[in-house]
Amino acid sequence: MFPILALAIPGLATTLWRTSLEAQTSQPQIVTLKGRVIDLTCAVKGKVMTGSWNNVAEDHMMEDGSIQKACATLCLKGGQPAALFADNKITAIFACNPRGTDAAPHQGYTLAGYIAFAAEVEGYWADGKAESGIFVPLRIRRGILSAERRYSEGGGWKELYCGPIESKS
Amino acid sequence: MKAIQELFVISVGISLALSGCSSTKGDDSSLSPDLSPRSALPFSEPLAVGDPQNNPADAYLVTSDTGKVFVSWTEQVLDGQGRNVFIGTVASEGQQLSEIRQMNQQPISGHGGENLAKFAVSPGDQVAAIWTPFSAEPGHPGLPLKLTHAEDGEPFSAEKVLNDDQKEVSRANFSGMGTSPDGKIFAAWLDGRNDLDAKQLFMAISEDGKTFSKNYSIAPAACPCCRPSVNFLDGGQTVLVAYRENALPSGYITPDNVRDHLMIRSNDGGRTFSDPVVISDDGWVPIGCPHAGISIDVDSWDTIHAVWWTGGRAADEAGIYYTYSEDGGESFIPRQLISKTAEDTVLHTQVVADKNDTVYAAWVGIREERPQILLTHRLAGQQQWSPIDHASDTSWNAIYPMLTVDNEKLYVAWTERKGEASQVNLRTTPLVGN
Repeated sequence: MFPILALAIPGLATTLWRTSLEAQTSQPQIVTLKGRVIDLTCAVKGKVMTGSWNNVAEDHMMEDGSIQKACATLCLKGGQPAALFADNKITAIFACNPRGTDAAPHQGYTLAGYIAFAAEVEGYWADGKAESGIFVPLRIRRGILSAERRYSEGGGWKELYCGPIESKS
Repeated sequence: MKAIQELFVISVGISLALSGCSSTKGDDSSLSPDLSPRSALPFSEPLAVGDPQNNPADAYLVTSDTGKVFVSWTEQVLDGQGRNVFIGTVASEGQQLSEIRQMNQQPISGHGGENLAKFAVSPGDQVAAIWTPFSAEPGHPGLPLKLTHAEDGEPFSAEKVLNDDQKEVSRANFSGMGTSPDGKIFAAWLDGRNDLDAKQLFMAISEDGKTFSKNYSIAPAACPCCRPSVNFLDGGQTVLVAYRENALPSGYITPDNVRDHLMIRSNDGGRTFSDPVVISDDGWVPIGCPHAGISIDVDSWDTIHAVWWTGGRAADEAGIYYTYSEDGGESFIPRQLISKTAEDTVLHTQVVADKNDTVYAAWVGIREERPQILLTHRLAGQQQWSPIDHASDTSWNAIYPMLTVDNEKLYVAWTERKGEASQVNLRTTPLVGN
């Protein structure tokens, strides 16, 4: 186990470094993904425990079989990693669970407000294509929006700031 | 692009021949599209409602039994947060507002939209109004539903609390109101006082508009963000309440939580209600919050008319739909498509029947990437809807249509937004059957 981790961590760091470098030196191809924002940790644990994707909504099944209400929101507010779920599979692992916005940089984890909802997420793949499954989210909006919000000036989008990669000076 | 998707339909559904069927899943395939919308109704020039400096929004319309047309709207509080809510009557054939009164003392919620302030008019043109007050707390924990009352033309009373759960932080909102033909006022709203996963549908009744009865639950689980509708049959003997279901029940978003519209009926003055009837088996499972209730009206033959938006079971089923019931809401005919729309954009609807039983349907349609207020009508006894009319024609986003009628005119009001600015417009047109 340890040797695999020892290899994986430098590998991830290298990927992120390259991603950061690419972001600074060239414009990544921006794509929009659709799916449901989920708490990656509970989703994966639930899959291992039950053999199916039971923990991709708001309430989650615990190891003792009990149901934890609002577990997904609690987890993302706690800084757990997030992902996008569509067509009964995880379609993207978010490179960050960004905290705060320009207006409120130290308040809350933005993705927690979208947990289990259909969402559109705009961003770019860490390796320029979907193969790595790691996605740098730049902004997000609900997948189902009123006409008022969808056609408003901001289009219902909320900016996501992925730490140093997307930080604004 | 969206405009192309939204095909207006002159609709003669074969399915309509099945009037009275208990199955309500419609056959939409028999409907023929009309891609060339034309304007047929002679609308008046728009009347700007409210003080344009204060960004009016959230129009609501009611015609009293004396034939007065009342309109309410909200305006931004000057140098403060939240909004004020006003009411006036429409005079001079829709070209002027009169008897304008402010209804609130404390600021009301600025969210409006689906959760807008409502009012009902009882005999003698007394007005009772309810709304969600402004909350400065993040996350909008919710405050009690506020209630006020006024005699004809008089100032409004001090605000009271409608929900009787005595909780400082209440989850009572998204209301509907109606005045029965015998003059009682019925208020229904979504209430989370019992801390269940889902909100319950609550009701209170007033004999005089000043005081309301004890609150009581009339449905165990309702979609927590869609307004209910209150209507009457049999001269007020039957009370109808329509609301969006929350099937599991669960307040959370799950992949199998159908959010179709239901109707419950009371034959004992609102004390007890029937089991719910599915108005249309749309099978819509939104992974999100719809924020769009159904619109219901009843004509002079006690036929119940309903217009709503659904995302459908599949993207190509999304649209504005119509149905009706001729058996007091025990069943509805299969739905009839009025307009195809995008599946990811929630649209608001309105329906009203006039004295000639002409049915008017209004909805938000997307035209050239802008929401606009569209309108169609069908004459009594006919199955065919008219060509489309554009009530709004603006570079602003036109949203949240409201309809009412008096003996002469159809009244259409809506909110327009552009950036942070908003305005309310109202237009009239002579009744078609006249």
